[in-house]
Parts: sequence; C-alpha cells; structure tokens
Amino acid sequence: MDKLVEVKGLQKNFGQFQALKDVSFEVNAGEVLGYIGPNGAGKSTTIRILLGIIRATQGKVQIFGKDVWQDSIEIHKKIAYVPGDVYLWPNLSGGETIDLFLKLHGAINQEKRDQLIKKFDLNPKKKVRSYSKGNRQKIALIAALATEAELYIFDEPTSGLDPLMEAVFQEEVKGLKAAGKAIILSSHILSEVEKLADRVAVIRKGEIVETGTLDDLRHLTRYQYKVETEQEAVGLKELSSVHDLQIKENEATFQADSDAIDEILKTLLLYGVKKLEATPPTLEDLFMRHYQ
Amino acid sequence: MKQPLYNTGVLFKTLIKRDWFKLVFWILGMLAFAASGAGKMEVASNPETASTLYTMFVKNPAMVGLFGPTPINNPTNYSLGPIFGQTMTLITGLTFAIISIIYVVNRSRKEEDDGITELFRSYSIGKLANTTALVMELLLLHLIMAVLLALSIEAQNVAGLNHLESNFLFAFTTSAQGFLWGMFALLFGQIFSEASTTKGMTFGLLGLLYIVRMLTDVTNLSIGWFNPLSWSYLAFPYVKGHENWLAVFLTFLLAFLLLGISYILELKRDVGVGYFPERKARLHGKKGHFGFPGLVLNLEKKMIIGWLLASFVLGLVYGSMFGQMDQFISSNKTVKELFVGNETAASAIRGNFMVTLFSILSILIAAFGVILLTKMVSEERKNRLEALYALPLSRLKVYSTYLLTAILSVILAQFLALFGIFIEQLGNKNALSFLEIMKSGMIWLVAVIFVLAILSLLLGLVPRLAELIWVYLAFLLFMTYLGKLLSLPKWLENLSIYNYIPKLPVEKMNLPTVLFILILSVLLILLGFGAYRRRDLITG
Repeated sequence: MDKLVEVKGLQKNFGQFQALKDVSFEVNAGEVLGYIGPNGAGKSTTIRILLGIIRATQGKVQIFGKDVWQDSIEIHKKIAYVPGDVYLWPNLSGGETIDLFLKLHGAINQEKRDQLIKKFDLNPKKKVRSYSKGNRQKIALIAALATEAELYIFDEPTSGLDPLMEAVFQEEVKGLKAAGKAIILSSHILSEVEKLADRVAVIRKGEIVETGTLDDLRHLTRYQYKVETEQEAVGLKELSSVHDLQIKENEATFQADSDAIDEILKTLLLYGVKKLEATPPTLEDLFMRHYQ
Repeated sequence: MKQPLYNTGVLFKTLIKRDWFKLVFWILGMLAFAASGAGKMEVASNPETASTLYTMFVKNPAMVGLFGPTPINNPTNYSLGPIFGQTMTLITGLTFAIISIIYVVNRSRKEEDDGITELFRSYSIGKLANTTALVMELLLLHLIMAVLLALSIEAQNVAGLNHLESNFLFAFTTSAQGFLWGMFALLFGQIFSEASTTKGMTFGLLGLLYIVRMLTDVTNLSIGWFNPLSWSYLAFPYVKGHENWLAVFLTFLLAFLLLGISYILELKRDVGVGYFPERKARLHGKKGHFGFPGLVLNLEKKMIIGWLLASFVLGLVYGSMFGQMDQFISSNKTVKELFVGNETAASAIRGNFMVTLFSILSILIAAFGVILLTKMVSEERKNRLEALYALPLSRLKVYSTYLLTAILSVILAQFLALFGIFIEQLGNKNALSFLEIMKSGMIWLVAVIFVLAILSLLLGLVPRLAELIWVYLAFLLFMTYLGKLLSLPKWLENLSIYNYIPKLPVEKMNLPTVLFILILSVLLILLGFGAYRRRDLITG
C-alpha cells in the first residue's frame, strides 16, 4: 500500500504551551483514518501543520513523500480540505465561493460541481452572509468534493449538517475510498468515525494514545456481558479477569478481559446459564477509558 | 418590545471592561497631541512673524481651505490664541470624528455582522440596551476628554491660551464633533446592513462636508452654519468677541436628533438587516473574478473605487484653490512687500502651498494604502486565509498580491488627485504645467511606499502589532501639518520620512536620497516577506 501521509514524532509549541507533544500516524491510499479526540486535544493543530499553515516545532511530517512546509504548493495540488469552522467572504454568493476555490485549485469540473450542489440541496445564489452554519459547511464540502485530489482532509465536516446531509457526505466519502483516495476524517462525533474509518488514531492532550484498526482497538477493551443464571453467580467475584461486576439476584453484568473468556465461561456454567448477552465496546467506551 | 432599555447598565459595564484600555490610550494620546501643540506654538508665534503668518494663513484662501477660517481681520490681532484656534480646531474635530466613527461602527453594526448582537438579544436584554450603553460610553468619553483637554491646555499656562473659557470652548467644540459623528455612524448602521458599507458611507459624508466647507469658507463663511462639520470652527475659540457656544449647542442638538432617529429605526427592524436593499448575488464567479488577485480586487473594489474617486474630487477642489491664490497674490500688497518682485512672490507662495498640499494629500493616500495592505492580516485573523492556503496558493502570491495592490492603488490615487488639481487650474492665468504638478506631487509617493514597506515588515514579523503603523502615520500628519509652526527637537523631525523627501518645487531634486529610501523600502519589503514565509498563520 502507498503511504500517502506520514507523521512521526510531531511536536508543536505555541510559546510556552506545548500543543502537540508526540504525534505519529500514517495514512495509506484507499483508506480512511479517523482522527479522534476531544475539543482542544490538538486535532486542528495537527491538520494545520499538515497543510503548511503553521510550522512543526519538531518531527517529520510528509505528504506524498514531501515535506509539508517546504513543498506545500506541490502537495496542495493534490489535496482537498474542509476546515472545522468555515469562514467565508460575506459578500460573495455561495456559487461564486465554490467557483473561486475550484479555480484556485485548477480546473472547474462543472458537472461534478452541479451534481454535488443538487445532492447537498444548496441554494448557491444567496450571499454567504445569509447562510447558516450548515450551509457554509456545505459550500466547503462541495468545493472539496468537486476537487480532483489524492488526499482529502475533513476537520469535523458534519458538525453543522442534518442527518440527511450527513448520509450524503458518508456516501461521498465511501465513493472516494472506493476510488483509492486517502482520507483523514477528524471528529469527536464517534458514530461518524465508526461508520467510515478503517483505522483510527486517538489523540489526547497533544499525544496519540492509540492507533490501529477499529478491531485492534476493540481488543484492548473489554466486552460487556449480561448473564442470567439459575443460581446467583457468586463465583464471578473470585475472578481477577472480571471487572465492574454487579450481581442482582440471578442477573449479573460485568466486563471481561478478552483473553479470559474460557475461564469465565467455565465458572458461569456451574450456575446454570439461562441467557447470555455480549456487546462489543463502542468507541465511546474506548474514548472514556482514555479520558478517565 | 417592552422595556427596550432593560439591562443597559450591565452592557455599559461590560463595554467599559472590554474597552477601558482603548479609551485610556485614546485619551492619553489626545492629551499628548494637544499638549505638544499648544506649548510649542509659543515659540513660533511672535509679533514679527505674526504678520507673515497672517498673510499666509488668513489671507491666503488656499490655506483657509486646508486649515479652516478665522474671523480675524487685522494682523496685529493674529496672536497665538487665534492661530491655535484656526489651525487646530478643524483638524482636532476631524480626528475626534474619525476615531468615533470607527469605534461606533465596530461596536454596533460590526457586532451585528459577527453575530454577537444576536447572542445578546437571546438574554434578557432590551432591544436598545446595547446602543444606549454605547452612546452613554461615547458621551461620557467625550465629556471627560473635553474637560481634560481644556485643563491640560490651561495647565501649560501659555500666554494667549490661558483663558479657561476659551479652552473649554475649544475642547467642547472639538469633542462635540466626535460625539456627533458617532451618532451619524450609529444612524447609518441602521440603514446599511454591513459594517464596511456603514463606515464607507459615514466617511463619505464627512468627506463631502469637508469639501463643501472648503468651498463655502472662501466664498461665504456664513453658509457654513448649514454644515455640521463647520460648527467645529464656527465656535471661533480664542477669538475675543467672536466666541460662540451656539455652535457647540447645535452640534449636540443634532447628535441627539440623530440618536432619536436611529432608535426608532433600530426598534423597527430585525437584527442583522438594514433598510437598504442588498444587491442580487451572482450564481457563479465572473471570469475576471478568478484567481487570487481577482479575489482581492473583487473584495476590495468598493473601497478602492471610493478612494480613487474621492482623491480625484479632492484634487479638483484643491485645484480651484490655485485660482483663488493667484488672485490673492496679485491683489495683495503685503505679499508684494514680503517678497522681492511679483514673480518670485507668486512662485514662492505657490511653491510652499504645493509642498504643504501635496504632502498632506500623500499622507491621506498613505492611509488608504495602509488600510488595503492591512487587509492581508485581517483576512488571516478572520480565518479566511486558512481555507485558501490549503489550495495550491503560495505565500509569495498572497504577500505580493496585497503589496502590489496597495502600491499600485496609492500611485493611482495620488495621480488622480494631482490630475484633478491640474484640470481645475488649467484655466488660470499662470496655470502650472502637467509636468510641474506631477513632479512635485508624485515625489511624495516615495514616502508613501516607505510607510507601506514598514507596514509589510510589521505584517510579516509581528502581525499583532501592525496597528502601530497608525501611530507613525498620525505622527507624520502631525509633523507635516504643524511641524513648521512648532519648534520641535531635531531628532523628532528626523524620525519623519517626510523630512527627507526633496520638497519640489521649492527645493531641488535629490536623487541619491530618493534612491536610498526606495532601496531601503525594497529591503524592508523583502525582510517582511522572509518573516511572513516563515511564520505561522494566525489561527483561531
């Protein structure tokens, strides 16, 4: 696989404040990287460094094998970006703004543009001043999606969109993925990342705390079990692999280490299992584990 | 609709908390300005020079057009007080007005543009509370300023400027202009649905009234009573027997009238809109609007066209002063006595006038260039450059686009102003040739370019301090306007770039100096670019 983005040991200081302490990740072609973390963790700072808007204090940051600060113009010819907060010129119309972005990028693909305007249900004839946040975001999305690029960077792209438009966006991203494009999707909306991302990088206080596929990360966390037994399953209390155990007469809920399932099941069988439910950890659980 | 003033007090306190530093800075700056002017003038004005000054400033209609009139009609009465009153009143009033307009628009219409007003309204805050808090602050500021200004002039105890009532009249007639123009800005903010349009329109009216007063001052002074801007100097501070508080009274009366109208308009309209219909938006970009330079031109076209037009009109108006001056020279005995021979007298007076006029004109135009160039960083601050820099757009392109736009615009503006002067005085007996006017006028662009070069260095190196350029610009205006009247220390004069520009046609061309300044400017611009390329963009 082609390594399109490579970030290694990235640090960024703003004066005394260390915004990024240690950030490393990679993105390959045909892959969606979910970049998740709470507000202020350093997601947008990382993206701005990737775009050559601010400069890395230390570390290796490359896109297409080129330095993001030195060769920004070359790199930008093949990337498209949607900022988290979309600030546009109040005096221009939506249509004018989209055309401007496309033109600055190179050629305008009118067919693709008009198709997207229709899909996102945008009225391009209004002045930007009168657009809502969601509509301003649509403008940036349309401009980015109508751009022919190799890497697409979306910084919390759907925070202002309604569920219908979110679905349109997800469909578009899947299309890009199928076409072998690389995508960075930054978000604190977990469901969004869960639906689209192949791999995730979790950032917290300027440090990447987890990277890997969603499945990889789930191995790190514990499944949630809910079991109904004939007798009260008191034996679970003895097991060190069982966590957060709550026993309410014949019902027990607990979390279990994934490598100790065998031991737990053997214990449970002694009490006569009537019903067993196991739910995989959501990204939420994963998130919470890092923020506690 | 009930209780439109609810919670005004809270907003007033918030406003003071937000802006106290600006207010204090502004008051101190104003006091320093007034103090330096009043004290030093004493040296420049003594009985021997009084009659020369009288001829230069009172009798010469061109200078009256520039500074404002005085009712003095006898050189012996043209002492320090009246000199100060004539030369300082209009300019001080204008300064108050300009600052006031900018401040009021930023705290009213601009907050509406930015969505802050909407947020305010969602709390239990009356519809007129924000406006009222702002007006209270503005009124209080100008009252405090007037008192401090009067007392600080009084405290310097300069003969002719130590009459308390005159000092109060001067301070109040100038501060009243500040309050009045704040109200004009407030009213225009109700009518137009955008901060930049509001500023443009208010400044447009101010400029129009300034030009009108120039024409009426030299023809019929009493018509000035119909012109609110003229009320500033029609109070005639320091001129015994002519001092007139009616002008101050009228100014405040009109200000409160404007306030009343804007209250009604604000109560009746929705947040975020105005009464003036907006132009229909375009569906797609026009061909000429593409590319980054196209974007910059598209965004700034209204302002650029406005300034170019204003420059040309100002040129026409000043051009008409040349005719007036010719008449005055040929009819005035004192002038003939002052200088040897009619021909030399005419060219000397005319030459001096050209130097004063062209240099002040170029400072105005430098302000235009500064506003244009600063847009580079204000766009950056509004986070609008972030999305653009994600495109294949280089820092060199952004930097050079803004710089070239600013430089070409100032050149064009100065040219148009001079061209206006040229056309208007063509019919005169001793009309100046196109080349004469261009040579003595365009030379000042060297100084303007130097100012822009300093600004570009600031924008590259310390963008947050770029506003400091306004301090330098104010200093340049002060030195050019009053530098000759005051005896200031040499080092202070040496800080002004205008000091080094050869004053054509009075002085000879000094090519090495001019080239040196230009090379220095290029170096500053390159240094600025080096810093701009290396620094982080300001991000929100």
